[in-house]
Amino acid sequence: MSTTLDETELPVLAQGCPTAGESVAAGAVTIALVGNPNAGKTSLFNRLTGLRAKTANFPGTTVEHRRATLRIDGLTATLVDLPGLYSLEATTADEQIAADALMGKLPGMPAADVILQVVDATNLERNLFLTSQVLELKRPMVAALNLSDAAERQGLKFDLAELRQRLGCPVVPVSARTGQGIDELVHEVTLAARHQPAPEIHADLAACGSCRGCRYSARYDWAESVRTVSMQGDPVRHGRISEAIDRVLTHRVAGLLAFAAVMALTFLVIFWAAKFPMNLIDGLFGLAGKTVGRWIPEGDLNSLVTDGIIGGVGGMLVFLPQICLLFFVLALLEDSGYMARAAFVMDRLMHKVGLPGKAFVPLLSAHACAIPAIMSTRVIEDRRDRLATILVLPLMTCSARIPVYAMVTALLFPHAAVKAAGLFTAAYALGIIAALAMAWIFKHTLLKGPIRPLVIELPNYRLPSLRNALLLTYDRAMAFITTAGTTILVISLVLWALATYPKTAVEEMPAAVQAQLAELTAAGDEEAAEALVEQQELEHSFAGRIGQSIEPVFAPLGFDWKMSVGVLSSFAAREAIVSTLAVLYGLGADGAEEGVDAILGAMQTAKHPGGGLVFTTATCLSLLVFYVLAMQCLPTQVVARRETGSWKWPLLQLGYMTLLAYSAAALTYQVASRLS
Amino acid sequence: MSAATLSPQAPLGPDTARPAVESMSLAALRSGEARVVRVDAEADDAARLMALGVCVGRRIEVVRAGDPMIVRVVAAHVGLSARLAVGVFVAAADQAASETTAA
Repeated sequence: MSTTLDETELPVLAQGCPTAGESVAAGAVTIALVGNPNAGKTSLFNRLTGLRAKTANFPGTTVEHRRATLRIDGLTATLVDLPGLYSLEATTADEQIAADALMGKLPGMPAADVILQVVDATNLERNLFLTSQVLELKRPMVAALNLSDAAERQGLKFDLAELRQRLGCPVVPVSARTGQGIDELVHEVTLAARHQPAPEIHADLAACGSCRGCRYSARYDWAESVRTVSMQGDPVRHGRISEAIDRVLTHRVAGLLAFAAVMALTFLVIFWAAKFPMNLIDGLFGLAGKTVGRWIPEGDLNSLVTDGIIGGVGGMLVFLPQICLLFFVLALLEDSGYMARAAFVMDRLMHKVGLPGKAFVPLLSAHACAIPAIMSTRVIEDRRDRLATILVLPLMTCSARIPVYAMVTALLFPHAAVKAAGLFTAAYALGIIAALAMAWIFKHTLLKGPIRPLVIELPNYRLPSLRNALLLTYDRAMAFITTAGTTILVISLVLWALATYPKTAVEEMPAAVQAQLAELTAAGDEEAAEALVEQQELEHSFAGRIGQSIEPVFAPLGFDWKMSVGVLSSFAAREAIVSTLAVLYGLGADGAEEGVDAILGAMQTAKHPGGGLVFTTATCLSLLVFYVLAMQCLPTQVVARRETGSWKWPLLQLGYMTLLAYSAAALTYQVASRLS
Repeated sequence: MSAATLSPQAPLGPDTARPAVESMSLAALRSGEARVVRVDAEADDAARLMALGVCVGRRIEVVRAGDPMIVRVVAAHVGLSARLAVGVFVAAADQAASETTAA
């Protein structure tokens, strides 16, 4: 028999726990997938559901799970992939939610009609611990003995009849990787769904369940006894290969070096490989803008569509290649088992700032973009640790800051490549140091709590699944586009409006400007004339006026009003300051792309009305420091709100980072201007 | 089964009625196999350790000593802080085995 995967609407969640008879009659059956992390649960889920799966939150929580609705053999079934669990006795809030969802204690979530436990055949004894707990829930259950292909390679043999008897429920050997056994598994699951048989609890299991002593010990004794009778072979054999690799990868020094190398390679790959699709997207949207621009008559609508909408959407989508590549590579590393080693070697270092070893990967990912990094903090178990990590992530230099760094270093060191590189590195270092310092502060004040000691499983290394990685990447990309994307679009439109209105007719411009315009048009220099008009229009628009009025606020930092407008425009995207300054210095929006040298030339010679260079060393340094530390990314805040479940945290982020950026930049300016 | 030897009222902690077993903390065990006889840790940490197999009666072996350390237990590798290892008490495998058969 085969599974026909039809796209159907998700069944409406029942108000309470449906009785077995009800749900089968209504045709909607809930099948919960449960199992240890690393047991291949996700692989099995993906094999059964593929692209049909959607990510959703448990009702009223920020804990995610994947779910999909299928039609199997005439039944409509909702498959729910619960987070990996070692035990139904939870030690973190997230684990508690997953356990509650399984047991039907979560309001808004129906109890599972069938529990499908994914058991790792290469790790039978440990997996059986969870089995003993799940069996006691007395719900219809099917055990999938996953990774049976790997088990076979290790020389492990299973007595399935014995296993079935000991567990009291169907046991099906499968391999999510090769697809072997899947049909039989689906058959058993549908049987369980239709007939709702409770598992036949074996005498041994019943005995240990009622034991008031060390519950864990009793269960493990049971697991050991089952393993001894039903499995032949030495499960430790494969572990020895992983052990050999680990001799290097978990070594205190070599392990750290290896980790640094892996991360460096990851980022190199991401930045290099992302260039091609990024240029493609840039080119495509540029083309779209020009083409659409020709269809719509000149005027506001034209500008709105080409600059506002197409420009805004393009500016957001251009980050997608980096984000997708980042998630893809991280998913592969996680699936291979390496990430556990990374958390292991980084644990001691991270402890010094009060964060767990697992926090290092999001902190590193933030160097590409803070948004996926915030999403990946989910792996951090402790809520306080996760919050502290989310709060400091945006301090890491993301790709959007790079054009600004490039501009400032070119202004300061146009011909000294080594110094420029040094300044670049210093900027990155400032971000990292600030993040670690703030993490330490938060963990010792606001988010004070005991630093949880490390307890982590180091699974055997295995070849990562491309399919899992691709599905995860697709899922995350969609999440990025919907949350961040809409925000960026809205802000782009708002800023477009602020920069366009009110309009300034040529007649309203100062006499000197009008004269200059006439000169340029007479000389046939249309480009320069256009640029001049753009500059004037921006100056007199809302954005320009706001910039001029907030100039006193930024005066201690050494910014003039044009830079203030630039900082304002950075609310849509950090790198927007470059094009904004290009327009304000009379080079037109296109001028920023064509020749950085041209805009640099204009900026280097720019003078204050009262004389004196605008872009002094002190001002440049202060601008750099400001951009390193400031929170200028509303999409990041939106995602932070989604992950933390409240606006309190993103607002705190905005508050402390603005304060930090302002004071650090002011300090830099005051000190630098006195020194030079 | 070792479960039978544990006092019902005190799931964790030393059972002084038993003959003294020479035990040492996991942190001190450099190599060789041993059996876990006691786990002293905060509730949550203990639960995590025990769920992964570091609980009374299980065979345990140190794969890599240090902080954090790696142990092999129920045929899987587990990394844990030395801080936690200090509270895990083990006895040489044969000693613990003879103690349980005597019960």
